Amino acid sequence: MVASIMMLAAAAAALLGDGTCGTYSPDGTKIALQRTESGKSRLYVLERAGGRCERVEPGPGNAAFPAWHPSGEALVYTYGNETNTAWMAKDGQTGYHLRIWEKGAVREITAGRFRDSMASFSPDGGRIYFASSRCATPKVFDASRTGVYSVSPDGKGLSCLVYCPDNNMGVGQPVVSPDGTLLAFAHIANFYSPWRIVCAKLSRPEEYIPLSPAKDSAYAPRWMPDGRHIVYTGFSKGDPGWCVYILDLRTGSTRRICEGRNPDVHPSGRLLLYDDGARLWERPIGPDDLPKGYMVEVEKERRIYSEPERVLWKADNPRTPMEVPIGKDFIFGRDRTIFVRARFRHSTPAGAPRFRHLLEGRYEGAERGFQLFLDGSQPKFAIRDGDGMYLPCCLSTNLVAGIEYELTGIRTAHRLMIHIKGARYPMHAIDIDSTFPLDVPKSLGVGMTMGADSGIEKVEVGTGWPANVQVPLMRATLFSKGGAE
Amino acid sequence: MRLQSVVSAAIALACASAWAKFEKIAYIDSFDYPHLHETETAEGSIRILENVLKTGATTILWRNQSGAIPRYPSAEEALPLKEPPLDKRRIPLSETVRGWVRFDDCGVNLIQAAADECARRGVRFGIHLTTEENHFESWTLSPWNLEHPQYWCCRNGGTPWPGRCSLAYDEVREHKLRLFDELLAMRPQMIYLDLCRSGGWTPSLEYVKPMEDEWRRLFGCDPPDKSRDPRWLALVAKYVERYYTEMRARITRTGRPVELLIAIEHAGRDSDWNWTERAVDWRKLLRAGVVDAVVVSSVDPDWKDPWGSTAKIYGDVVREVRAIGRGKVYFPIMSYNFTGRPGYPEYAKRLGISPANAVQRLLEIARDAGGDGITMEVVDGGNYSKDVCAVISAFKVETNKGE
Repeated sequence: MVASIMMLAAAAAALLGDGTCGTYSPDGTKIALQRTESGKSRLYVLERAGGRCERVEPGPGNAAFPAWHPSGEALVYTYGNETNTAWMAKDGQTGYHLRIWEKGAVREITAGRFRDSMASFSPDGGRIYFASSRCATPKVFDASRTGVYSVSPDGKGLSCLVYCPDNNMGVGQPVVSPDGTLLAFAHIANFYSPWRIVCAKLSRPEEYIPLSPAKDSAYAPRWMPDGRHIVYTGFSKGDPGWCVYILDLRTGSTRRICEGRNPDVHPSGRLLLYDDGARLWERPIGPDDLPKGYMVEVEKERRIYSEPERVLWKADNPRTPMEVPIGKDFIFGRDRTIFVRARFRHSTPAGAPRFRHLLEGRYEGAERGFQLFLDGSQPKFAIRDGDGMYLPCCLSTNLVAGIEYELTGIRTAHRLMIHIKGARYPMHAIDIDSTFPLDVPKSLGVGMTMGADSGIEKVEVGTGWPANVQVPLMRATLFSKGGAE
Repeated sequence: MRLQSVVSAAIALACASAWAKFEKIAYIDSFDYPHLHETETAEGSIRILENVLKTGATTILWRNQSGAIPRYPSAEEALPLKEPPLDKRRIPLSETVRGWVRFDDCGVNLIQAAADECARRGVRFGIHLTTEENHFESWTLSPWNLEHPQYWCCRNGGTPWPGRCSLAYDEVREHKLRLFDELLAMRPQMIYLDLCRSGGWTPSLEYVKPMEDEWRRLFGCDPPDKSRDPRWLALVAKYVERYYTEMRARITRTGRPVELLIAIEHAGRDSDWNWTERAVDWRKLLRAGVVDAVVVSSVDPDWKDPWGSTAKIYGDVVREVRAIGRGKVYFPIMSYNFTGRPGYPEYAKRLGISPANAVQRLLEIARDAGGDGITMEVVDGGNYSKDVCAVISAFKVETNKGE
């Protein structure tokens, strides 16, 4: 009983004052934070000893998401001063840009009609990583997307690290690991997916893999000083609200610490900073707070990608539409990875319907249980969920008439993917939940809506991981010894 | 001043007499105008109103929210810093001007400004209330929603869905009713419950704990895999109906005659779309006095006989409503096809006639079926052409429906 009370006391959180998005300075003596005052976000630095709090950005606009330079002498943050009405901003330079505050002086790092935010420094202080709406063309209707960008502290050398090609696809809070080899950030694949924490080698940032559980919502990652764990804001079914979680990179195991959000860990690794109800809290953490166990997903992942492809049916030059009844020997099997592949020469005949199906699986209860098709010139692979609702996975590539393409649709137990050979962004994937069972199709339809000459040169369906698609980066590979080099 | 009030009341009375005959209701989505002129001022709202009144509308219904972000200063959704990039969970809309609009934070209640102008002009004013908490983009999510993930809807597989909070939680209904009170405070004469714009919500996303617990109590087993299970739909409908019934109670509490309208989507389909996709039984709500009118928001005509089949669908709905013994019926004059809902251009295209002629025929069918008026779906900048507006404005119905 006494021991329990002592443990509770040890874990008790201390209120530091008003504020959100707090972050420890590299020496742990200060906290940069933001406060909402009269509807505007203001930036402050709080001295942990003594509690002196100084405002650091004097501008009238919103300043948010501070992050320290490794020297502890400067902060990078986002700043924007909105006009009274949107119309007034029509011809101006309205936007949210990165600023650096250093020794009382402020300088702007980025510019333009963009929203740059959630920046952080690299461990050596030589680069700034941030999320930006630069992926979207400002005049495009409903362009809603963000990517990961990088810039030098002097504002030079702006580059895109992770491009998000689709609307409602976005990133947030990119942060580099303490050893400078990995990049973690929040990512959302589309409007129907939850935010997830993903990670990539800094040298190949576009090959990112999801770290947080597929069923959870997770954002605002920060590295713990050990470089083996990430703290983030998360929500899992049954939680009382947004909570602070710790994630073990190697196993994928997570542990819920407390209610709150925007966590950061003290350089000593012994204190956790977070906000709850627009107030900043600090509480001790120790080895007992770290997640335990081995997440089954890691082993599942290994099994999925190591199962060799087995072609169950194929057809060469099926130029005219054909429906193929399936014999007894043709079954995908329960929860197996299945793939469908089509090689074809793209054309856009006049009067063609908007949706043209290369390959479709017909089922009792779902006329198109799976479908590999073109929406205009955009390739898509779709299945049905347990309710028969349409679940699409779309490539951003627009196909060009006269060119030969190879498209592959893949469904594993938990993901839906579409791959196009040779493109800069060859793969798009979404996590899936309950799905319509694809074990035993009634028939296959080939080129059913493609017209008299479909241009299809070969179609195949099968199980296992398709040999023509590179195995995605796996957690085990990324975090194995030397994997991050 | 007093004389002006008397004149306004006389105009309103005269208009009321006309409304009883055949009402022309236009929905206004002010978010469709920011690229045309400055819309975050009272003058901007009035310019939008003037544009819409060119259709001959006798009633306007102003959209209350963008996705779920109110278009007025809302105490219930007052959370600051809700827009991207100041909220880490929102992806910004980068479109020039429109991406920067803040209807809730421009120092003016723009909806109230429009309502006041309507009163001055003797035009009926109401609210187009969408049931969504998003408009398929994360920047449109409700601030309250993002603060309360514990109330999010959930898929059958256990993945929470942030697109909407579940009505199965008392806290959610109470929140939504507080928002409803804010709308009532603007003194609308009509509120239209739009079921089309649900932000992707269907009963398949209601696998939340209170619903699952109740299912287990009722049936002694786990919830069904298929959300179209009639028992599941009935359970979800119970909470939807409770919400609408509580809305009606709030209206009654005001002591003002506010008409509550509800949509019928895809009239003419074999399946009852309202029931399977929204868990709404409009007949029950009408019978119980919860709603006062139905808006046939979309129909699925038989394109082998577009006019005949449309007339039959309209007639069937009117007969059902008259059999219930109360309620008005409105039919659509929709200027575009919207997610499988054919507008008048589809009739024009398929029959090889002008849009104005298609509208004329649809007006006649609505009148001949015994309809109480028509609705115009989101009158954007120029989507109702001059010819079409002229036809709608000139259309008169002499027969009084006995309202």
